[in-house]
Formats: sequence, structure tokens, C-alpha cells
Amino acid sequence: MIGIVVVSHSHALAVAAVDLALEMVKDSSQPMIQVAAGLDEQTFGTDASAIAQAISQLSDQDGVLVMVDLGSAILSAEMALEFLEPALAGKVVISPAPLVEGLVAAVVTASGGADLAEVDQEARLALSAKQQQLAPASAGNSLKVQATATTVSSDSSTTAKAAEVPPAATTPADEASAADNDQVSAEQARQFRWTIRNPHGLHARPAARLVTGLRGLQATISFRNASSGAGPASGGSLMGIEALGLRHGDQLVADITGPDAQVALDRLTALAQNDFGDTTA
Amino acid sequence: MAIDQAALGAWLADFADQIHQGADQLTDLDREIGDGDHGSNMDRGMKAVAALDPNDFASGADYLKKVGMTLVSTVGGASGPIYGTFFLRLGAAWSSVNDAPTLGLALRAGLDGIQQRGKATTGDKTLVDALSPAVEAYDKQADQGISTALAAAAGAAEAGRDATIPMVAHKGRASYLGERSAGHQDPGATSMTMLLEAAAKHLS
Repeated sequence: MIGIVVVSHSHALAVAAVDLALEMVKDSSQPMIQVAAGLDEQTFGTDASAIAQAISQLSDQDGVLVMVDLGSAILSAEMALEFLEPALAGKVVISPAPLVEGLVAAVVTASGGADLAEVDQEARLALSAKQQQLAPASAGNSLKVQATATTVSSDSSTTAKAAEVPPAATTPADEASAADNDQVSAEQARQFRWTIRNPHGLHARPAARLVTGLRGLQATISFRNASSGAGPASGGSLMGIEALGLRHGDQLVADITGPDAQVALDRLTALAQNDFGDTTA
Repeated sequence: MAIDQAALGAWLADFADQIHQGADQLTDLDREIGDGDHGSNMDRGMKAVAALDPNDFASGADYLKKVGMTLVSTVGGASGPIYGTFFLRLGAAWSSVNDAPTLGLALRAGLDGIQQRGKATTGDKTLVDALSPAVEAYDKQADQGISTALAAAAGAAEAGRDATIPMVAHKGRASYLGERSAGHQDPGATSMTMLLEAAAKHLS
């Protein structure tokens, strides 16, 4: 698992952001996190030496992602890399993601065992998920990045990526006929449909449980919001799933392929029936 | 060696003093266009530097590197890594400083370090607007000796500092203000000018 260093001007801000992010994952799967924030608990500031020390404490991890707030946090983190042994500095990435959203995405993704590049990428998407929710029209650039990363076009009857949708599987063209079934089976391909019952929709915490619950399987899972047409989003991407904007009453569609497709379907069904860990009362 | 450790210590003690006396002014300037902490941050850092005894170090290079690391760990704001990088690079170049031209090379190494760290160039309304013309002016007078070249550098820094007033900030917290940052003197250029004025007084 990779480790995470949180760099902020404010010690209190960093500690609170870590608490917020760790709420998303079980104790047993939490990544190692070090805080290098504030000159002390009261004084705002960043310290390149302290950041280098925090990274060194995670040297036995599979990589280190450094989350930063602004200004000197960025300069100090860059300087800290120059203080490290090249071998260690080589497995450290400073994330350009916004601190809070990026940290949540990074913690959830890291807890599933994703490598440094994948966690870094997922943290970067944290900004576009927020943009999509608040300003869909103006967020075009970052959304394009996300769309190409997940490869399947949502409304066309031509499948954009054959590998993810084998010939035997239902194609989007079959959607109307498949709509009355909960599950459509095919050789190593499954489809899952679920109407979201969570009163607040599939917000960050249930979405995080969905991502972590489906980790480690040999299956490609692609989620869509059939009610709004949003998606697809990779099943491993918390930010992609959040960007689907699944609200109460929306229909979630998952296309699953790969050797573990049935296991994934079973897990997905169990997660959904449990409302992704939310109490819906 | 043209400049001994005692002279380096006197230079930085004077700079610490200027910063302390000017802390309110620097903070006021920063309050106009930034987060209002430049004076207090630099004062905290330079007090820690002034507490170092230059004679405790094996060489001027070691002393300057320690000054850099002290600023990195005590300033807190962006000036920490920026001034810290300046002194670390100056320290790294110090063993080859033995006359005015080689001091010019060391100052340029410090300027290059600052520009790599902060990615700022002239016209961005930062301390680069004081240091960059100062290094250029120094180089033009380097054949006249250290005192003359540093006096020219300090004069160029003062002019560069004053020239930041109408600029629109492109770096740092002030860049969040955009056009509204125009009309205010840059606090970083102000403190950098103090450093060069102190150098002109104590290094020869």
C-alpha cells in the first residue's frame, strides 16, 4: 500500500482533513498517513525539513503521495524532495489535487491497494467531480479527461471498447429490452441495475464503500447513471462514481466483464441491498 | 577568502535587525496584497539565524547552508523555501568565492535557485524584481571590487523594489488579487533590498 503525507499551513486543518478522509475507510485498510503542517500546533507555516522527515517515515511504503494546500506548501514540498535520497524521492509524487477532495479520493483509492500512479490519478479527478456537480457547462475540459479515461461512450449504440463489452454481453442498444430485468447474464459479462434508495443519493461515503467493496477483483466494472445519462465511470474511481450524480430514485447501471464478473455482481448486489452501508431509515 | 565568517555574521545580524525594525512595514505591505505575514515570518526566521554563531561553523559555506536550513524551518511562509534556497545555493558556491567576480557567480547561483523554486521571473511583482537587476548591476561593476559592485547591486535593488509598485502580481498569494495588487510595493522585493543593502555595508 502507498503512504500519504498531508502538508498544510495549518496543523489543525491537516489533522481534520485526515480525520474526514479516514472516516471513509475501515480501520483495517487505512493507509499510513503522516502530517507535516504548521510550524507548530498554533503557528501557520510549512517546513521543508519536516516534510522530508514525514516522507522518510513512510519510506517502507510502496510509494508516497504528498497532498498540499497552497503557496509555501507547494514550494516546501518540492524542496523536501531535494533533501531526500534519490531512491526515496523517486517514489514520491506531489499531488496537484485540491487538498480535501484529493485527500479523500487518495485515502479511499490507496486503501484498496492501488499503486501510486493510480492513486495520484484518482486524486486529480477529485476536482473534476466537483466541477461536474456544480458547473457542468463550464467544466468541459476536465470532464473530457475523465471521459477518455473511462473509454465507453454512454449513449451510442456502438460500443467504444470491445474488450469491456464482449459480443455476448448486452450492448447499450439492448438497454430498452433489458430494462425490466434486474440482471442480464452472459459469458463472463454481467449487468446490474439498481434504483438508488439512499435519501441523499450515492454521496461520498456510500460511493467509497462501493469502490473499496469491489477492489481486488479481476473484473472491469463500468457504472452509468441511466436516469441522467451520466457516465460511464470506472468502478475503481470514487471521483468518477461521484460525478455520476446518482440521486435518490436514479437508476445505477453497472456493466461487468472479466473472470470475476459473477463475484463482482454478487458483491455489488449485497452492497446495494445494504444501501452501500447507509442507513436509509 | 575575500569574506570571512565574521563578516558574513555581521551582514546577517544587520539584515535581522533591519527586518525586525521593518517588520511592521513589511507586514503592512503584505496585508495590502497578501496574507499579512511577511514581516512576522521573516522576523521569526532571521531571529533564529541571528542566534547562530558564525564561529561555530567549520567554514563560511557551512554557516550559509545552516542559515538556509534555519530559514526553511522557521519562516513558515513561501519566503522560507525561497530565502532558504538562496542561502543554500550561496553556501554551495561559497568555497569558490575569492574575489568580486566569483562572489557575483555565487549571487547568481542564489538568484537561479530562487527562480527555480518560485518559478517567478522579472515583472511578476516578487523579490526577483529586486534581486535580478541587483545581480546584473553587480556583474557590470565586478571589476571594480566587491564594495563598489555591492553598492551598485543595492542601488539596483532599490530601483527594482520601487518598480514593483505599479506591477500586477503573477505569483504567490498576491496573484489572487490580480489587478488589485497594482499600486502596492511588493513586500518580498522590500526585504530582499534590505538584504542587499546590508551586504553592501558589511561585505568587502
